[in-house]
Amino acid sequence: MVETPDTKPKLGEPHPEDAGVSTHDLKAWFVREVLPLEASLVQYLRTAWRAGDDIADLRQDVYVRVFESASKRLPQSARPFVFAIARNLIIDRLRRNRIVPIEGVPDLDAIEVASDEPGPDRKTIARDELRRLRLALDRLPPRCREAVILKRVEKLSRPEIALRMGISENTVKRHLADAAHLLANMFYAEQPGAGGEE
Amino acid sequence: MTPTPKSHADAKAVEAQAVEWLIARDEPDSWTGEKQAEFEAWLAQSPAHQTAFWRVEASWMRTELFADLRPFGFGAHRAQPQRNRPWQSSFRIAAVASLLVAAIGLGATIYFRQPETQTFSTPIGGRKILTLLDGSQIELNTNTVVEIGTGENQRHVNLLQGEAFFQVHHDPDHIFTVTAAGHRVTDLGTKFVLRTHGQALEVTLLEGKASLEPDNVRVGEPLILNPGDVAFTNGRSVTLEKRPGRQLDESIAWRKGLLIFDNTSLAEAAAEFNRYNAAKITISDIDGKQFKLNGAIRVNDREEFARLARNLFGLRVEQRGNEMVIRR
Repeated sequence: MVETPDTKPKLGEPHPEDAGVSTHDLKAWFVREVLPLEASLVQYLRTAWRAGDDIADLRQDVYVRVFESASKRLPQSARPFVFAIARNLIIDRLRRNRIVPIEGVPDLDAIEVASDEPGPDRKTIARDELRRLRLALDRLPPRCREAVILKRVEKLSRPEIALRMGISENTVKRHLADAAHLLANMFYAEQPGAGGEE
Repeated sequence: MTPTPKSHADAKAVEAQAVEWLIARDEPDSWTGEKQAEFEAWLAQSPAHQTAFWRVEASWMRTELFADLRPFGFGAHRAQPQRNRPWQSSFRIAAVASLLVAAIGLGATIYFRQPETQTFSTPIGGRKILTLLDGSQIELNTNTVVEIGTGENQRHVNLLQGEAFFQVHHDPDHIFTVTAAGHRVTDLGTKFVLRTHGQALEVTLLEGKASLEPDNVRVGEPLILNPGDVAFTNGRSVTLEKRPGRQLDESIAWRKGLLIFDNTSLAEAAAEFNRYNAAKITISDIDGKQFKLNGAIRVNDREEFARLARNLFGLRVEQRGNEMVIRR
């Protein structure tokens, strides 16, 4: 039996006294509360979902459910909310696919995700934001890093970056796109401490 | 096996689209209202789009903090004086490539040799610094358009309109040339300012040396310009005058957003001012040459210009729509 936290309204049922959360508030909450949980979430999904499906797809489905549910009302505590959704999603999939008995899904308590305390990852991010940024930057391919600094720090346009780096605008675009993917994964998907932190 | 219902597109594809929008939105020059609407429609299509975008956007926003990392030793990306001369190798490659192309046929040669250029411009009142691969800088003044070759052709610049300050990293093996209205300026280790006046060109040499080959009036060797030289050519004649250092500073005061007047007539001052402002100042019913201005003013401070006309010369200033009319 899976219990969803009290703070969470039932999926698909609008909260009676609530007209819904503004996109602005929802976004702010999602970025502040949900994204920092991504590393733990991905780890949980890997442990719980052994069917070899793409974890990125699963994570996306979790985010979609989080979005739909939280847009009716923001939960008081993000962590148990997100992990309950993840667990329910996996149980739904397992039931549908009849692969693994439901008892095979790791309990939330067992992997210590249901705590109200912000996870160590979040604290680390807050404390070492600059250090993490620097490490992330160091791990980008050099041309990619150069392009992203010229774009984000120096605020140059793509043609100006092409000029400065002596490459085509399309190559600049590719470097920036690569950087955006890599940074999102470094900041959110990876466990803090992964990837060469001293 | 019943397929898992997949209401959402493949996460990788969604993320790729999100990134595409993210970096497109970071180009204010090409981000139109139409694109914004298209982007909002894409976001509204699915929570998968929305959350994927928030995710890549949030990490992208954090990169602004990279600026704070500079004291810890970032900034090595700045173009250094040439060490390995990247264009030399690309010249070699280009040479080999053009041999190959020559073997393929003349038509193909012409196609491949077509120099590609990038165009950069500033609006009225705008200013922009462009940095080339070798560290050379081109600073565009108001209402200016330049065309710059791509790749190894970067050192061929065409000033199509307006005024620009050039600070060239000199390399005797790879000359730096600027053409404007058919006139050609070649760097010999230089800082200079070029200003176009229709088909005419004014060259102010600040440091180093440059040579000028005016269109039509070329006589033998190119004209060598030294610091303080101001050359003016309209395709029919060339004049050369020497200016003292103080006046040279005035000619590049725009780089600090200033106009400096040195016994400048009100008419000339207004004309100079109008280069930087879409809302024009006109002088009506008076001989603008009677009134001389000395001093400095910010290029966009129209109110101060009006105040000076009133207080210094006792003139009247009227606002007619967007236009400011100075009269007796």
